[in-house]
Amino acid sequence: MLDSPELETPGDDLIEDAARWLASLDAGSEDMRAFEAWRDADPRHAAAFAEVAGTWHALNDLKHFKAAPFAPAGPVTDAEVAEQDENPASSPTGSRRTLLRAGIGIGVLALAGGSFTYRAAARDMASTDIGQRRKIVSGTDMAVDLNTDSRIYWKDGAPLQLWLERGEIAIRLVAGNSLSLITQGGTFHLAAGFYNARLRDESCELTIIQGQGRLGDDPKILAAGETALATAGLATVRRDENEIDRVTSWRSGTLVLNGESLDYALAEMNRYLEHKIVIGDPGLSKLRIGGTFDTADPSEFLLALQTSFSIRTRRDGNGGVVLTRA
Amino acid sequence: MAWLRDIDSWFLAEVLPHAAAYLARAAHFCGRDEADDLVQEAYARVLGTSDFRAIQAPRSFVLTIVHNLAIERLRRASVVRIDYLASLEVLEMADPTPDAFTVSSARSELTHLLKLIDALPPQCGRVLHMRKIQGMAPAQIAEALSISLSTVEKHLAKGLALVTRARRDNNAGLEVACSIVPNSKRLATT
Repeated sequence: MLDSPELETPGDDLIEDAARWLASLDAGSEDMRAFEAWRDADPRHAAAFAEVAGTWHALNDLKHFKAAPFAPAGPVTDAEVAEQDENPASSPTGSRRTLLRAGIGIGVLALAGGSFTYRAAARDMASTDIGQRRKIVSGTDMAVDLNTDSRIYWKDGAPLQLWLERGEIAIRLVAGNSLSLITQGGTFHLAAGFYNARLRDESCELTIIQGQGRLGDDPKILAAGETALATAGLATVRRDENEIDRVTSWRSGTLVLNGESLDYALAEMNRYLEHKIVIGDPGLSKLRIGGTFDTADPSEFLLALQTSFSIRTRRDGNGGVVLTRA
Repeated sequence: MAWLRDIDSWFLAEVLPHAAAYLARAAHFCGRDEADDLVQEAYARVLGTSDFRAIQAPRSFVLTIVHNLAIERLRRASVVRIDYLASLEVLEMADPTPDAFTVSSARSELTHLLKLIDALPPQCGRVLHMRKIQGMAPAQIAEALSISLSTVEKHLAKGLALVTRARRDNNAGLEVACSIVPNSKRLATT
């Protein structure tokens, strides 16, 4: 992609190169390996890329801070959202709790019952089906990304309240707010920050990417970088460097594996698939897998299995995929 | 972001926010023209560090690298402002508290970003707006604007580069308010 011209002054053109790499990675038109080769060729490349990524990141926050000026009583349509976005300077009006709006890519807000009616005491709901992802913005205070097969309810107030009923979410809470995250494993009290919460059996796993929190009445502070597994109101805390990558990668539609077993890999992959992949040969389940895979399209993952481990795949009668040794 | 290694995320979170301080320090030694380049070189050194986790105070660490690189450059230079050399020796030069440099509030940075996007060439700004503020996927943008995916990519790249450059200049602007650069102009040949 980057046939870099010979006469380049470092500083400036590196920023452009880095921006081109980021845009191509974002659009999926370049592969990681080529990018890594470029980045690793010179730490200046890495610095330029990090700087551009910083801008990319800062622009994300823009999305969360931008006040939606108006929440109509019916479903929000693409056209209306686009119109609002044309006018970023318009000031927030009306009650904050009405300022609910999903990203334009989703088109229509599917709130409880499919239409949005203002009910002062009611909770709002959002959910995703298998394979879907979606972003929900609550006024200017909170943005929640829902992973596949998830459901949340939330309610305005101080603190904000958020119920995680199913699946996995990432929460970005803007400074000046606090949040009670109510789950089957216990209630987390969170300060402003960035969190990932996932239900597992009877427990809830909370990873603190930024910010801090507590579980229930326990005075112990959970700090950034820690993952707390809450079961029946009690937390088990661990700290794992790879955890952050793992819990944030789903937001970009990827599954990151660092030598986990095929069992684990499939369990993760299957969360996103209507037609599950199953192991047809018990001997395969302990294979160790590494790599980054697209959760929307398992073919890449299956191909990797085939080429690296000579695993054969066949469709069963219901559309599922069965793995066997070749 | 899956594209960032641990060291890159650390760099973003711990090193880059103090860009204005590094620029001020670099400008102090080498003048505004060379400051950018010096800071970029310092960044490259930081990212070349094998054990970044051992760095306790990233800000001071980078300031020290800037300082050392400046000395190297000054020693190589044929004409040196001697007041700089003098000040190199007394480098207990006050490091203003980080607060003096950090952007006054998240909100002002965001307002600034919005302005930057508005100032981009129209199609470029539109694409960046759709991607980052409206959260549309590149393919959706291509469809909505009836342009090819690779054109979307080009607009995004261009917009990102321009905004990144503008943020950098904004940092350089902050430096003016806080810098403690002496004004003497004595020159000496070495």
